[in-house]
Amino acid sequence: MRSTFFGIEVAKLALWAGQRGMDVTAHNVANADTPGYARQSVRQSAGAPINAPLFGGSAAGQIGSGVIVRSIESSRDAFVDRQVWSSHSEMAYWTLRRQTMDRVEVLLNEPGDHGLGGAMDRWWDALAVLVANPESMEARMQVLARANTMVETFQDLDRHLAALADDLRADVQHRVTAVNMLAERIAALNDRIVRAESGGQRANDLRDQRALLVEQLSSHVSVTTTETARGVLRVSIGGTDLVGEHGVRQLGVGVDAGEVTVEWVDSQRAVAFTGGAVRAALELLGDGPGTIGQMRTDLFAMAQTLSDEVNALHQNGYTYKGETDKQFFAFNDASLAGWRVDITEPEDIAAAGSRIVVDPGDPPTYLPVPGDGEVARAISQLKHKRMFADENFTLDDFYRSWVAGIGIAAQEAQRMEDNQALLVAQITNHREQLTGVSLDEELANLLQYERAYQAAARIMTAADEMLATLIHNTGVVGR
Amino acid sequence: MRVTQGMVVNRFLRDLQNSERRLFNLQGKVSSGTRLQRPSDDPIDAARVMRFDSEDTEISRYLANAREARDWLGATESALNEAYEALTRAQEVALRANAGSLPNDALEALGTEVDVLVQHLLQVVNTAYKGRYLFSGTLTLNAPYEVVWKDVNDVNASDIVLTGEEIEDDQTGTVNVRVLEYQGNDGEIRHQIGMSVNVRANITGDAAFGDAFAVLAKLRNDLLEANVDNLDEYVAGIDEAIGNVVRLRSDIGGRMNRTELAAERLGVISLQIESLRSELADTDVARALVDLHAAELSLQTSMAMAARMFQTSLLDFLR
Repeated sequence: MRSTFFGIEVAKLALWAGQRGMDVTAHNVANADTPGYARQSVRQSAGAPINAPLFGGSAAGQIGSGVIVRSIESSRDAFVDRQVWSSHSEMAYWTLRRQTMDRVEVLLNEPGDHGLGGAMDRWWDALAVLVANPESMEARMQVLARANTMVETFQDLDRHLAALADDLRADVQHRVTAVNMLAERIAALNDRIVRAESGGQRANDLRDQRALLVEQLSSHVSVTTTETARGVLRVSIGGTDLVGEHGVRQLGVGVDAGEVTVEWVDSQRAVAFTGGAVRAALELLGDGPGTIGQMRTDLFAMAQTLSDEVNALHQNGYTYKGETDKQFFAFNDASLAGWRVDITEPEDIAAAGSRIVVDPGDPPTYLPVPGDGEVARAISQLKHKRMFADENFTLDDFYRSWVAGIGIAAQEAQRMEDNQALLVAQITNHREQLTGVSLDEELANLLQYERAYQAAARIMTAADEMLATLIHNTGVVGR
Repeated sequence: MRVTQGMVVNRFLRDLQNSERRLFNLQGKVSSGTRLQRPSDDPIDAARVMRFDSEDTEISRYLANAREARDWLGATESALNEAYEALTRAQEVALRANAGSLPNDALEALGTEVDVLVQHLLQVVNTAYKGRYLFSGTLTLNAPYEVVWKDVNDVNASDIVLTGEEIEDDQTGTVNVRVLEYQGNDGEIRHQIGMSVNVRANITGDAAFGDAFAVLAKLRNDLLEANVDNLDEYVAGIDEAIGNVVRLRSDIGGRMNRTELAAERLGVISLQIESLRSELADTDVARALVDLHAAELSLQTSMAMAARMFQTSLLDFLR
């Protein structure tokens, strides 16, 4: 036996459902451009039906009891989220590598006249001029000037590489600070989500915020995530929890003699990064091929070998004053910054392989042989001497392969970044398909809910009119 | 597939970025004229271009050296020509004197002529080219031959004495004579005209003119003193000196030829390197301009598309 007011009750539920639908639509439209927002939708189902022939009567069928809004669902998909996060880590790794190699390439200024290659070419050329004109003071001055320019170019490059390494160290520090802050905020959101969901309703918007934070986090470091039954998102780096069920473990940066390490503050163990920008920066700061340290080591080796070889020859030569045993370069074994041309006067270049002994007495007096450029010739031949990499490479070869190596690394980083950007775009697109708000769709939904609401209101009016008929127009026989 | 506004916007932005980047790169290639603006544009080719640049600098220097050597050898050759003329003239004088029956004053006149020839030869041998003496070996700042005063007792057989102006020191009583002395050394001046190719650009005054000076000085001294006893020997000596100059001249000529050939070859190599470098590094302008046009077109198309897509909305059709 249905209640008299059953129809009104059903209509009321329908009005509520329509309202709720419009609310959710409004929320979607409002957040259409909010980063990290995932489209929400109303999940509704029909109410429990009433068996009309409750008392064995003959009336037909079950009667529906209207609509019930079960929940508001988010379109978020944990699997897609994880894909997005890991692609972001990979992307950030290659982006940082590419940016760094870009800067190195700009420093090199190759191929062209203004790089170290050009400076070395001009120094060799000045030497060749000196060989042809050993008595010319202009030729000697030019050798000194170009030697100085070459040394300065070496040092300039080294200094800028060092500055680049400093920038990377600062970058690691900033990123670790950001990681710690993000971890705190994720942990705070974990708490709020657990509390909100203990009532049985999903905290969609809080989850969206949390996922967005993990996305930001994953560009710094590569993370793995698992969600517990209570709704806590555990975030770990290299197998160790950054955000656990009960709070956060902090990362710390240690700088020791230019070496940077990132470690867990509580255990003092180094963090095992598997991806992200921090890993890229640490790799570039480490040692081994392709690192900034290796680039500087190579540069230093080039300068040192050149300096030693030139000096060995120069010390056996005779200056324009007839003096001998003078070094051309002063080399500092500690750093390239101490390297300099040891000669300031053009006469002091020992271009000659002979001298005239005027008086062998004490002190002896000598006269130069102005047209003798044999030692200068020997020095200029160093251009073709294979003195690098087990005497397989000349200085020029070594430098060129050094530049090519950097170019290849830069190219690789660029290509990987491009590939990764494509992957990120695909995955993001996939996620957008699932979670993005389509305004046209929402408008259509809005129309649907509006019509449903109007119809429900009409049903209520109809029910009301039925009752009115009952109340006003019945039992009035003979009035 | 669900399509949302966000997807449309994202894809548009991504495509726009790509188009802009392609345009930017192409513009760089066109405006700079090189397709290798940084090593990563093509690491291997960049290294090769750097090698070409380095070789080009080197070859330019070799070419300059070859020119220098050629000029130096040319100056040497003309000095040798003049020496040849002077020696031939001296030969005529010696032969005339040797023909016999000349009076003493005629012999002295011939002696004076030989003296002038010696002075002339001295000038020739002391030729400087760009501030460097050609015939002093590597002592390029010393004039190769100079007349010096020498104690007559220190004079030995190999010294080239010019008699007639002896000076006696009033206090010590020593007699000084004029002696023609070589001031240079036997150093070689070599110009590098290839990676391991050197051409010797000089001959030393000693080797070229030592004997000539010796015989001419003796001839001069004897003629001035009207002594005709050794003229046969001098005629033979001058013959030898002429032969020596001729030999040296052909030697110099050979070296000039070699230098010329080397310079020509260097010129060819330089051209080859330039064309190889250009092939590797230079932008194919026609191609780049076509690409540029295509990139511009695709950029414009995607912008026009976007303008239309963003305008269309269900809102436009709802009342």
